[in-house]
Amino acid sequence: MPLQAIRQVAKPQNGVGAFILQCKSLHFTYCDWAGSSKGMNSFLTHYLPRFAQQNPQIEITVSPKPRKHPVIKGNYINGREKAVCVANMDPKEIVKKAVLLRDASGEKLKKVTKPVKSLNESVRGIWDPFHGHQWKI
Amino acid sequence: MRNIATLERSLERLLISHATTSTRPICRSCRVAASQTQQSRKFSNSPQLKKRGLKIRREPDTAGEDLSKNPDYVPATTWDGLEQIGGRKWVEEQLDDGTPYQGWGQPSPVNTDDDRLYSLLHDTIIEVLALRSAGRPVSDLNNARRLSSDASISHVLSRNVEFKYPQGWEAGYEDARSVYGESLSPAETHAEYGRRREVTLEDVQVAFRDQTVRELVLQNILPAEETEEALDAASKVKSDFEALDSAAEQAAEAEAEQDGLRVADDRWLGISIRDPAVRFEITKRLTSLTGLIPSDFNVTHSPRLSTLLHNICKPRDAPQPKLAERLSVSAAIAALPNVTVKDRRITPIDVEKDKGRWKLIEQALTERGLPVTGQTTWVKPNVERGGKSLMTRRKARPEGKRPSWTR
Repeated sequence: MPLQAIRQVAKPQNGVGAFILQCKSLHFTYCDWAGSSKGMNSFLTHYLPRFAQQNPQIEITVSPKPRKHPVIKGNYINGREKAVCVANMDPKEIVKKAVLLRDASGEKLKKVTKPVKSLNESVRGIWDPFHGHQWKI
Repeated sequence: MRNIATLERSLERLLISHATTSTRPICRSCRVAASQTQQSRKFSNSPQLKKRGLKIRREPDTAGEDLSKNPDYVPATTWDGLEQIGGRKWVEEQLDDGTPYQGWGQPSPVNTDDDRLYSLLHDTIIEVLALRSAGRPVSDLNNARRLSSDASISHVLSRNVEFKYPQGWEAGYEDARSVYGESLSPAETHAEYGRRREVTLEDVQVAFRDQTVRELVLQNILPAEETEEALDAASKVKSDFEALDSAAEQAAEAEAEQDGLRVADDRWLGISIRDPAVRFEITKRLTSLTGLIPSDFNVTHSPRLSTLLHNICKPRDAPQPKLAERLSVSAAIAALPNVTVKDRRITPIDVEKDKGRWKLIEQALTERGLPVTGQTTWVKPNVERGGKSLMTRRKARPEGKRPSWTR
């Protein structure tokens, strides 16, 4: 049997070689008239320039949406979209929501029950010094 | 007991009927007073109240007392000369004679541009200070006729009047001017300066270069009790002002040629009007001259003349620009390559255009004879009846032309 070279295929692992932010773009909508957009209007005036400067890889769009509550919509590289209504929030709360959408993976929210998530899960699990045979000194 | 109460009531009725059927005529006021007395007596003697231990305070029998004490009272024997109520003549007398109502204010807003409001407030404060210097109450201000709405009076007053302020206040004003410089308008400079220090009405004096002007200003403001002399003097004020204005214009032209333009002195805008009476009189005078009625909030929140002027001018300011306009001119946003500001709502068609799919979608819709834009309403299919979903408001397909997908 001829010797075969080990097949080595580069697998992208986010954060190992490079980190690619999962959020592609954020879309901010507001209303000029409605009181629920007061905080959003203040955020867009005073906080948005700094937020956009800190996150140059995110495409940011601002557009009015009359007679509707303000919303932030995030588009992710997995093709999904997440929207957060920020009605009646103050600008600092809106900054937190924008950061939340920026850091999100775009996946649906799931209950995390296992410590490791893998495409190729190990049968043996993770080694743990406190389980199995214990050596007594 | 019951029989006694019934007897008492019947006796009172008898007394009342005797009084009303008396042949002696009684005037209306006496009749009303007499009936009220009877009523109160009736209530106070009621057995129910007596049983409950309550007493009603009886009104003194004023009608009877007045009649007995009035030495000029002569009982009438006939109804000639007595007051009569009712009848066509009486109704016509009560009707309005049709004279139109003349209010103290302008029927509709006039003189409402900012420069005119500025000069009218200037004239008003001169009138207030002139009244104070003459020892007259500020409440006389609104007896002034509407002469100040004429531009000639403003011209004359601006040329002939000088305000005198306390020494330290002027220095403070110059400080404010040097700090804020040309970036702020005079009114805004005063608003800034006024936060640091105010000048009260008592500390400011007004000096007239020509004493005739002072006399004319005071003559224009009628005293609380109008006299014929005051009215005659006030009627001539307008023509005198116009004569002074034409003379002053010629002098001013000659002066301007020599000295150049005179810088306007806006320091009077810093005068405090915290006294509600003074503030009310000034606001009422402005309202009578312009027809503008500032809101109570704006009046009560005007501690200085500058703020009052600002509050009167404010409602007529241009509407605030939209947020999209403000963001698009913002230098901070313009410097960011990853931020796009749209001035209108982003529609689904815009999204498809951005992705480059819209042309294909439009072509496919046209081929099928479906509406490209506009509303289409989805009608829920009635599954129980075996119905199919329908698109309503569909455009009529041209006859003889079948869509390509049906071939």
